[in-house]
Amino acid sequence: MSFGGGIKFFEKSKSLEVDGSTIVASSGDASSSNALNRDIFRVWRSVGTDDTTTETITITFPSSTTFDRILCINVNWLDFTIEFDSGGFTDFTSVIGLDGAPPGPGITETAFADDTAYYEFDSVTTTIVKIQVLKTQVVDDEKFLSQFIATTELGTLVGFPTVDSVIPSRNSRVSTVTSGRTNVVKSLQTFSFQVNFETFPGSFSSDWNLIFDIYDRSDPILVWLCGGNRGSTKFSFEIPGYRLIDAIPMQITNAPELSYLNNVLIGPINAPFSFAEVVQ
Amino acid sequence: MSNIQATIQIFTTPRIAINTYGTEIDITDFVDFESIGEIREFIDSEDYDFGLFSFGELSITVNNEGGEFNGPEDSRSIFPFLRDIAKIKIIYRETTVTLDANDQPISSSDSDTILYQGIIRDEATRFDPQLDVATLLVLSRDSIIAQNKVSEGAIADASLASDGIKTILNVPRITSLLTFDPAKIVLDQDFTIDDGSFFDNLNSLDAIKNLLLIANSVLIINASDEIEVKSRDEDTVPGIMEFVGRYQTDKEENIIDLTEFNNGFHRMFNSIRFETFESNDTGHIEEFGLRQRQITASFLTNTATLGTVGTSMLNEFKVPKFELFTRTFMSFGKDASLLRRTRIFYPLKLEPEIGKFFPYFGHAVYNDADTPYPQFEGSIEISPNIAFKIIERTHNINTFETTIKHRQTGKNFGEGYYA
Repeated sequence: MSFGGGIKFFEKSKSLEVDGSTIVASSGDASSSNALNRDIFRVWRSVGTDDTTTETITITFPSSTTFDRILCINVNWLDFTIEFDSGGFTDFTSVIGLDGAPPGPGITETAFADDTAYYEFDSVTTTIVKIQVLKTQVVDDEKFLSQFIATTELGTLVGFPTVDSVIPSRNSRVSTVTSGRTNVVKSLQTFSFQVNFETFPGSFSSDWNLIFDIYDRSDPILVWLCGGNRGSTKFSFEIPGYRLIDAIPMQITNAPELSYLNNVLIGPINAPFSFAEVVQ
Repeated sequence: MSNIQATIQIFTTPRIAINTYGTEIDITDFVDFESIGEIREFIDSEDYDFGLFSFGELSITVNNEGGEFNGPEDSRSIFPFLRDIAKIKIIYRETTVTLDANDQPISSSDSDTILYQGIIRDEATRFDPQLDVATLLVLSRDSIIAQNKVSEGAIADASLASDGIKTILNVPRITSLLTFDPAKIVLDQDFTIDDGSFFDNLNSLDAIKNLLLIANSVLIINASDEIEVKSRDEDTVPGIMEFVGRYQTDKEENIIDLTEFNNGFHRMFNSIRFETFESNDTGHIEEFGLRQRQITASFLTNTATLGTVGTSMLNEFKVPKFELFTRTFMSFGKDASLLRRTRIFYPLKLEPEIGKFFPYFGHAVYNDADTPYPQFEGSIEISPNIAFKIIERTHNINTFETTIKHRQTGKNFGEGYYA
């Protein structure tokens, strides 16, 4: 089993602190809640660890929660495991990772090299997830994690619509001083982009059903433009928005203008959608 | 390497009982920031007048799609008790994010500055069910004083003004929100009230304003929620804020613009007229013409007292003092507080003659053809030796800019300069 395709869409994270999830870390616990908020610039970071010390992070959901995807955004881990509680901690099954091959029994890594971990597995229902990290990619570094996301995949686009105007805005305030120079104050980074289904085949019914389902949703969805792809065979350069760390909570903000090309009802379809990052 | 993110955060602290507040709640993600606009606080800032103070009110529009801002009758509401006089706090947060060699964040720390603290005035709350929003009117904390009145007989004849102010402020509805410490009630000119019945059943805020005006004093709620009553003198702590203009090349520029620089004549008064008494500075009247302020103070009948307080007010306002506005970045202006000292570097433009050099002291020689006197350009120079204090501060939440009004310190001619 492997995953492929293009843009992936997930339900909103089911492990947010604002929704009642809690987290405990074996060290650096004062910063552990950063792993359950939406700000990737705030991290959990261990204290006084090394590659002989296993750090344990335990995430507890407010109630029994069903999910089939995990993302660990912005990590420096080399050797780690992730399990869930099922009357005792248990491995996930039918797991595939970023390389499309099972990393080990359940989620077990010994030579992880990316900055974001992503796993697909058979759906589980649990209240607790446990992460144990032994080694870091740079020897004896403090371990860190920006975001832990447990979620359910809504779908992956099979086709490749045009993605325009990917804007990683810093929401800057620019003031011009008396000399004519400017002062720029940067705020939080937010993303927006256009996904244009231009002359898109109507036969790609799974993609059409997916995008219209997303359009109808009132809850935010996570958009992963890279779809888990990375490296020089997939991108000349991974620009912001297309990085593995960019799993962004978004909504469609426009009312799309739908049309059949040249009004031929059995022909390709045009449908532009505007996405913007939202509060969760 | 690190980067800094600046954000505005908004919190509310609802009441859980009549005079008891609960836990602070972050409502940042519910707020339409464009609805807030500006937050203004001032003392003596209106032209052609003094004695007026205000700590600003603002209107906040919030997303109420989930009913969070409904009243306590709705189980979804964050207000377990009445929404009225729930606290609102607005902070400016600078988050410093430390990045690793690959520009990935590895740690972060916050630095918060309180920009504004107020209370919800629920009589002005409005809901729009079509848009699922609520609009809250937030008044400054001193407005809690206006929700009380002075009890009959509370202020006795022959009592000190400071005692009267303490009596007015030390009531549960005020002290549940603000910290009252009698030691922080220090009037510039304490005086004896002749007729305490003037204040019977008067709105407490009106009573306070009457007393402060005559006492030549101001009321400030500090960042620690403490009520302070003190003179108009500049604070010696914290240090002097420096505002730097375009031609001050040895310092980092922080003035976006500088406007309305004036000599302060509009706030100069050389005659104070009470109902039955007048205090005049005849020398100033002769030089500048009569500039009179009429004041109602029927609670004072003793002419000696009227003379003393009149002289005190004259001394404060009989000499014109420079005033101006500067607009700066909120990252700097966030530390501005009313009555804090400031210094302004706004020199003229200096340029050497074309093809020549600046005549630097210790290097240049008189009559040297290569170092002639430089050329000056510019209409107004503001010397950093002039001592200013802040009498108005306005934060713009959307542009992250702060506008400050400065007034020169000192009472007499020749005062109001740094050594």
